[in-house]
Amino acid sequence: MLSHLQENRWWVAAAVMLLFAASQVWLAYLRNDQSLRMQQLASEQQSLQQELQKLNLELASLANPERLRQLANDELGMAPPKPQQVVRP
Amino acid sequence: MSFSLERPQQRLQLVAAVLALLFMALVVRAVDLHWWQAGKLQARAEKQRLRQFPVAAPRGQIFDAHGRLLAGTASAAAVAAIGSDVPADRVGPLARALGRSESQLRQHLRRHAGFSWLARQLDPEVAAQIEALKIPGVRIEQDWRRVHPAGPQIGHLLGFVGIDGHGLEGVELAMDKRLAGSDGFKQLQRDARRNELPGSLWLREPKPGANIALTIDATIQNIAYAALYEAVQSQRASGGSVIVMRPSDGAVLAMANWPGFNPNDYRNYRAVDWRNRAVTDLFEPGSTLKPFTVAAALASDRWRADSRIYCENGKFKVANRMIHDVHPEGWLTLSGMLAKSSNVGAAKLGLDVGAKPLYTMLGDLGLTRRSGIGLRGEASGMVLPPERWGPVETANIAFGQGIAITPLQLATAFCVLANDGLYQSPRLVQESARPFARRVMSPTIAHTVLKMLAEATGPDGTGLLANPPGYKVAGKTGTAQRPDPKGGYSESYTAVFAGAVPAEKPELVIVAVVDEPKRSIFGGTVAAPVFRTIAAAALPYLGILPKSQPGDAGPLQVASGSNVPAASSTPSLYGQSLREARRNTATLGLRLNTHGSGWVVRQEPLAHNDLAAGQVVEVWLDE
Repeated sequence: MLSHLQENRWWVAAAVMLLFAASQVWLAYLRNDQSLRMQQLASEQQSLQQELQKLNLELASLANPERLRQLANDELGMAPPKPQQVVRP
Repeated sequence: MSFSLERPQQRLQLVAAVLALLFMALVVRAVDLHWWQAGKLQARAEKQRLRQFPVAAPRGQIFDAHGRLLAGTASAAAVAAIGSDVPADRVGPLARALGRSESQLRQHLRRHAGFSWLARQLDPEVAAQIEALKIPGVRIEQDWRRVHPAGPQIGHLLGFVGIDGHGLEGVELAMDKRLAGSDGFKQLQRDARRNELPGSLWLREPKPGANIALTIDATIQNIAYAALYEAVQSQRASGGSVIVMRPSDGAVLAMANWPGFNPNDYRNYRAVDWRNRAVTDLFEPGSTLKPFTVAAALASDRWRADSRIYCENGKFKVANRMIHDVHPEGWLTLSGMLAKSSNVGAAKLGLDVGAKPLYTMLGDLGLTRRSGIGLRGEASGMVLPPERWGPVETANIAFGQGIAITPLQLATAFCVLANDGLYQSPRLVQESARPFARRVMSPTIAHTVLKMLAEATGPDGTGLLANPPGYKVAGKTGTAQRPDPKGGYSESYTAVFAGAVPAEKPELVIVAVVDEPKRSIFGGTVAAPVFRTIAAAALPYLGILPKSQPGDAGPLQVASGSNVPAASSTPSLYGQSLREARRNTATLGLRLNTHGSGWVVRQEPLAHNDLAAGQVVEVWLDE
């Protein structure tokens, strides 16, 4: 077995080198692939954060006391309590 | 031996020579590229492969005291172009997508052959449409837009942010360093498809701006803004300001101005409308300054709460100037002097106290310098140095003329009365360091003046209309002529009311200033109702319930919907119209004495359900 390897040592060396080279290429590919995935995730995170911010602003606009007051007045017929609406508990 | 191509050996030599020359040329070129031009070419390659670009730091958000968003940043897009790269036949579609005229855009691109912005702060949807056109030389960049959800209600206070992301007015400007953060710088490697390759690095990491929590309460701000708007409209006034403060720690709960200004659309307003009148505009405080003259008198130890002063039947000459009272009075106590708002009484008191002690009192109250709230453009009060106070100046200043202050200064000074005589600088930011409270007057003097001010809003006082039902107010009206540009006084007035509520244990100090009212000029009829509206809505919101009235078992509570009781079951006539009051008293066989018209704001006795038929109920109605 050993003598067989010794006979073909150049072929073995070439095969090992080829394997190393192939694994280098594979690793580079994996690295790029992961980098791409990270970019996609980062971009998704950013867009979700922007969406969240937009929704927060929308919520703040919708919950604006002036808007609530107008809605209460116009749609629900509510008004600030008058003194005669004060009762004992 | 002659050279001939016929000979194979010589042909071979020629080919070899040509090949050698070509090889030499290759070697020379290789040396040229790898040696002589190496630096330049490497830089070009790196420029293609590596890209450095700035990364904007998100601007911090502004919240109110309860964490409600007052200012935030929304994602937007910007369109940039390299003018010389944009094909002429694509300008038309680009102009249509941008909503601009084609000729104008052509002119812009001709003028800016290099980089220029075509549009900033665009909606991302519009930007996506432009990107879909795939016009050479045009690219979409990330941009930000500042949004203030509350709009005009708090516009003057928050200010706005310019296109470069930096604050230009209000809190946005004052706190710009904290809010803006610092932009980062990133270097990344890209492949041919512009995908980011591993190995990107931050040359400088972006630091996001800090969030800021204000002391402002959005609900009280809205209440104040709505009340001010109502007063300005009903009085056909030119404008006004309202400040609501918590006296115990100087926190500003609301600061509203009219005319309103929408910070989301600031370009459509004149620069003069951007100003926060509550801190930039000076006005003569008029009679609202009299409580401090009284405080200075009490501090001199020559006057006591029950001291009496002769008000000269409404006319008093100081040097060559005659001072008048609207309602001529004779002898008045200090309380009566405040309740009747006697100029003569205040002038005589001021002259007795003297220029220097009075000036010291005004200075201690913060009326001679900026409050330090941190807003740009804040005015310091205009008060002559005491060396220039003659008898006329001393008398005038004692009743609030010849001195100009901001609404914020007046509110801060009233906070001293409401805070046991301690001065607290007004605060706008929650986490800001609170300087130690400074004693301006003894607690006894502050309580005494506050009690006098509670009488000034009583039935004999000028500030009756400031009382919200169920609460007692300690406050003072003011009606001051506005100066004209020539140096004298104009025919227009500023109506003011400043006070603390509840009078027994003040939780709020409110200052309402209405400029140039047309229907009435008096602080008691123009500004006091603004105070009442704000106090009536803000106090229950803060959990401070109305005081129970005699005959009640406990604190009153607000009924809702079907729980609203019939009028006859209520122990008082508060809030009823004259007709309702007449009907209800007639049903019980009571006699009714009325003062004024409108709605019942005060009643004697407080509860009428224990009265026997034929007895009298007296009511005061506002307009």
